[in-house]
Amino acid sequence: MNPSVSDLQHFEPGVFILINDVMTGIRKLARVTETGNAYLDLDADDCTPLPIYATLKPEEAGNILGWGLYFVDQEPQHVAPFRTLCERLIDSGEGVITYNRAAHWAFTNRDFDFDRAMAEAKAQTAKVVAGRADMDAMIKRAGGVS
Amino acid sequence: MESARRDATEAILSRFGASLAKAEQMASAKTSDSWLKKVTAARMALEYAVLATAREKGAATEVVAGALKGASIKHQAAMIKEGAAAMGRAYRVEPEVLVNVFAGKIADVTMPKGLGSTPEIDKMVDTCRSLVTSIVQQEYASRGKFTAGSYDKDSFIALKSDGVVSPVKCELAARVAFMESAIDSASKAGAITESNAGMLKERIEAQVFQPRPPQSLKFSKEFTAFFENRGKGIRIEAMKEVRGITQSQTVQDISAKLKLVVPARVPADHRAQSSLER
Repeated sequence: MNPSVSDLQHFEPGVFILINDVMTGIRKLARVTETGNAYLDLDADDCTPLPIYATLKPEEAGNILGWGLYFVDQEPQHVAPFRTLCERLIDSGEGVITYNRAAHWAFTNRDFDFDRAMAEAKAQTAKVVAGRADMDAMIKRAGGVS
Repeated sequence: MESARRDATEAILSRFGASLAKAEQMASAKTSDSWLKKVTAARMALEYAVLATAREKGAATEVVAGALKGASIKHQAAMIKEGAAAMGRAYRVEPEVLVNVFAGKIADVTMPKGLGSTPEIDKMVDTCRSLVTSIVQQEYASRGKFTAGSYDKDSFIALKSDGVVSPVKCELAARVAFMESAIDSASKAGAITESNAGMLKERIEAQVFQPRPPQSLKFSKEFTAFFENRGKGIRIEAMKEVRGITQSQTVQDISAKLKLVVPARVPADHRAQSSLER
């Protein structure tokens, strides 16, 4: 049975999930908040947590340890380059969500080039930012915020 | 947090002499609080280095201190390392672990509220996850090459591979020790409650060691069986080593001295705990 629009899905706080973005349609990496049924998709302090609607097909994405151990188990030739990439990403100065987007992209595409991974992550972050801007503009036009 | 850890550690080990020299130059000028803390960490490390070196050499502490005072910066740094190494041997851990504990005691790390986190802690956790991956890779690749019970004979840090102490294990213990001591320090300064500090440490430990593969992928049965057994062992051994250091009497004594030099205070920008928090 399909979930109703308002049905929420619960995840362990702090884990990363993949979820559809309502405004842009992209599938984005986000981080579950401490409530377990909302997520953050930007590193900004004022980022608004959004509900994890089941209809947006949320699924756990893993984390740097999970991705690394998957390589240990299945594709050990990728462990060293992935770890080297992760160290650079963590030290990059980018926010936690953005650099984890880069690590996830590298894991998914088996491409451990720092510049390409970071470019993909920043592109995803930029789309999320643009989606939020569209949302805010609509709210402002509609008089939702005085 | 990573930069704080690195800064504090470098102040103690790499730029110890330069730190003191610069501190003297800045004595008449406006000295930043963070700089004072770094120098304080260096002073604490120096005190123990002198004590440890004097005991090892069978000399009076004032003799060692006098020799150190007149030595070159390079020699001073070497003396510090020698003292730290002696301390490490006494506690059967790598000196970097201890240095990081000291650094954590004085690092000004913003604490999260409730069940949340901070970017600094998140980045340190991700770094530790990467280190755990390397440790598991090494052990998974050499599985079956150890005799039963061999893990119990050596400590986590002392466990050797090809005759060399695993630098990855040392680094993992050092980083976790830094996080734990930073949390302890924040708790004593009133920036986080004792109960929340305990929960935060437990949460960080779980995050560091708990593998979370993508929902759509599964580990093989062989790896799952290996990790269920050895993963727990790695975690237990690492945390035993960390707790043994952070809770040692020596560290508590040094922490008490730090408290005298740098009065406990609540950082102006700390994220205070609300009464609603668990």
